[in-house]
Amino acid sequence: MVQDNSQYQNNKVLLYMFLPCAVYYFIFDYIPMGGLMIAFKDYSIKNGILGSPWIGMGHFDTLFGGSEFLLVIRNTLMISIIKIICGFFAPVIFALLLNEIRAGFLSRGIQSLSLLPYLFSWVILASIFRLTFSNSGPVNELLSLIGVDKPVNWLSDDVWFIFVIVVTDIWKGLGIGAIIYLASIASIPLELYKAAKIDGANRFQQMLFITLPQLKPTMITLLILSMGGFLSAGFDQIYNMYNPLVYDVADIIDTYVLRMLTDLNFEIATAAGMFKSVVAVILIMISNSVSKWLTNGEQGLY
Amino acid sequence: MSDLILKNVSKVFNNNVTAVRDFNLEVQSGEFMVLVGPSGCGKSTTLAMIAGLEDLTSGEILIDDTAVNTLPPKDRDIAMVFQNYALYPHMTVYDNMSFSLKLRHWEKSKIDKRVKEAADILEMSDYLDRYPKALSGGQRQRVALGRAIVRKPKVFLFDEPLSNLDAKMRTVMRLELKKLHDRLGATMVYVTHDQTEAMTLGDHICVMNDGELQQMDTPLEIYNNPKNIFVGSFIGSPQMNFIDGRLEANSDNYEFISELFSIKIKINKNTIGDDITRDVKAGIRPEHLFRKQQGENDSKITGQITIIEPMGSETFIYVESQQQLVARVKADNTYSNSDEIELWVDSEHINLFYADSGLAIFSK
Amino acid sequence: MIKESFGSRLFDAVNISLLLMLSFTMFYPFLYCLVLSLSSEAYASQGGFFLYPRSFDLTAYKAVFSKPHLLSGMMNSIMRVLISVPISVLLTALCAYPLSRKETPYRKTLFLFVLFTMLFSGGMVPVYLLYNNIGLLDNRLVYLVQGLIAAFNVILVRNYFQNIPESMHQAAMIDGASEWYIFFRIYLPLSKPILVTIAMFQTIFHWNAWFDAMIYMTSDKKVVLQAFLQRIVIQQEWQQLRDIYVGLPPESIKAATVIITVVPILFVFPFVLRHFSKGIMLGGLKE
Repeated sequence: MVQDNSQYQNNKVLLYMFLPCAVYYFIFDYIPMGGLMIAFKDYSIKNGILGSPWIGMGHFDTLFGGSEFLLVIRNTLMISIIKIICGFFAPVIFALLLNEIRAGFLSRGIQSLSLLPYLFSWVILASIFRLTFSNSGPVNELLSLIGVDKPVNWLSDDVWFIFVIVVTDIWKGLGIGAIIYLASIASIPLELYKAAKIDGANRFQQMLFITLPQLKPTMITLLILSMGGFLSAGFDQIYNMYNPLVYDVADIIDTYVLRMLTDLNFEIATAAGMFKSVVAVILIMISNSVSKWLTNGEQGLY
Repeated sequence: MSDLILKNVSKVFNNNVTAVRDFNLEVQSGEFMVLVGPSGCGKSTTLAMIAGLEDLTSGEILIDDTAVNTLPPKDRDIAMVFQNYALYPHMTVYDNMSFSLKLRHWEKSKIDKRVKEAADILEMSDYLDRYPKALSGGQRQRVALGRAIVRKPKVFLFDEPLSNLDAKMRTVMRLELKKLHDRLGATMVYVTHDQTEAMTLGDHICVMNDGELQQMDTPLEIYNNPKNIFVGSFIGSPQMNFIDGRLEANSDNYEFISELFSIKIKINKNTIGDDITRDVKAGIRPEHLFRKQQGENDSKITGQITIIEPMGSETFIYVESQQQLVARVKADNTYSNSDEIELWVDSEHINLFYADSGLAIFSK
Repeated sequence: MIKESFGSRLFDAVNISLLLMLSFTMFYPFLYCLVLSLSSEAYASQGGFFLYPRSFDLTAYKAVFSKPHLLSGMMNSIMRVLISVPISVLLTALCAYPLSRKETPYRKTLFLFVLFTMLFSGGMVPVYLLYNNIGLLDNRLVYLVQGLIAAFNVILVRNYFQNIPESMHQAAMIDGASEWYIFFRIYLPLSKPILVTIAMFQTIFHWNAWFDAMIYMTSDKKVVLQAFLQRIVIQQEWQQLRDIYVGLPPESIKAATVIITVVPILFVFPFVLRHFSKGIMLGGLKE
């Protein structure tokens, strides 16, 4: 095959275009990956990363030997699992219910309002929630109106804290999550609903047999993606909302790493972070394979 | 099978657009009725109202003498075939066809029997297990048909079912539909914008325009005796030639006078009254512009050939003579551009229309 | 005129009520904060369920504004967004373009190169040490670097590019255009919707970022507004203000800080809505 010179010129240009981004990724993403070596070394700032001696799995032994990290893992898993079980279907249901409203202005208004929380950082939201869930705040006030006398320690009781974390996380993600599903719903041809009406399906059956199956691929993709964040459990939210009273359920891997970092315990911090990243990748690969296996090779992230 | 009656049916949408105006129709039991017209004429809206997918603004729809306009679609005992097939993408062909029966809680064995029956009729027993995305357009349309047949409804409704198929498939499916109708003897209402489909499939045709029924008749009647200019121009391809002129009363009867030609015409005096000159349009079908004079009353039009379209079995010639005319002639190769040509018209094959109202003047 | 079943209408009533109540909870917390920020000591300590302000006391705001780093924080945040977002959008598109062209050599490898960064990272420590080594600590440029070319965004833009008809590219090639020309003069203008989406994601990301300011900045004047808020409310720095403005309830101070931080974002809100309005409208247009 004759190598067309002009073609080749064009192709090189494309690589040049990619170059700046390649440089960025290399410096800011890939070099730090090399820095993971610290987890296997006895690091000192004096010697630098390359100069410090190897000690093998020593730090990991320390990590898993003590009870602190194991507790932290337990908390992370617990919070993540509860969040996924309770929260995964929330945006889907919200989108489905929103879709059933026939008055356009109502559904637009509700959807617009539901987007508000998405705009705000957890710093803002945590600040607000600390005020609203306080002992004299509106939530407890509301409870006293319906007969609950003692104010609930929402943010300082182990169980209630988890409850607040999960609920507010779902609350924040409803609006933006629903948008993704509503976009899928919008692409369903209206004729399918007409055919279903004639076939005899009522509104609920239409939702079950037409709308929901259309959402399945999106749901699976989002579920697999969320596996990547499984061990993060929402650091932003938890860090801003927790306090020492709930440390034994709220301390997660990332808060642990932060503590190690502030104590200048670089090796442990790196080891813990590395553990998190590796497990995340494995989880994504497993869930992708499972999804492919369950749907006969059709549905997967890649 | 059942008859279908529409009485004074109207539909006005929220933005004050009148889609259908005072529509009256009687479809006999077992009849194949076609609603045909250009886009926006109201045919699909009318079908949607029969199906129950749209509410009526006023009027009544009766199936078997029972008013159905307050009933939802599933209680009307109708089935519909859509332009885009509307098959449930995540269900197999079998599931698509059995869906409506499952919703009605039928026994599995009865469902199975019905589905197999329909599959036999449509010759699709081979792909009951497949999913819609693995099927071609024609196969999908068959499944849509099967879904309707399985219900054995009182009325079948079709919304431009062949529009998404390629030309060849369209011809094939047209024949299949006709055979299906003969076999099932079902009442069918069929909407299309294609006048060939209308002419070939319908026992009767409703030509619609601007929300109103223009004419309801058998295909041949509509072709030969269109009630107004619109019907005359819409049905028939190539389009009917229209020539402006006036109708004058003379000694024998009447005469049509125009810049292109003049011809004596016999019209019943009671139809229009006498001694009044009227502006009219003469409609002449392309096949009625003859190459040879046939009767002594015939008139001649001369003009220049501008375009020749050889169709194989015949040839369409576009002629410029004060205006453009199209003639349908035998397929000899003796024509070339810019040639002078003579065309003959006879008074038997002219449709006259009042120029102001567009209504036909019937000579009989 | 077609009769709707009772169950259907009941469902509608319940559905709408539930969703309206839900919408109320979406904005009530902000309303509560606003009311709290305007409340004097008497009302604030009363606590409870506010629906409208009972007093209009701006002392809390005065107190918060008196803190020196509020205004610098706001400036930092604004500058951060104005500088980082356009650069980020441009570089993201520039990265996505070669990935969207079939004739790019090693395309699959390059894509994996980008995708991998989304799945795996070195973690906080190596990144911190790197910034230290290249002088990004306590340097406002570190803000620019955060999430500059996010793999997720690259994938979105790449997919959009791939949906642009190939005939555009072919016509331009025939006209003699270079890939750079095609990228800047054809693909970018055609991709406004997705570029606006990315810009929106990045704006919200940069505006809400606080953790990077917290660990990478040592100078107070270089932190962003969110970090400032974090210090006041979460790290309880409001107590310092209490000494100056005696009698000012802590809740009001915290609430005022929140409101000050919230207001700029609210200016973005209608823009966000209009951008998503296509999805909103289509979602509600079922009948």
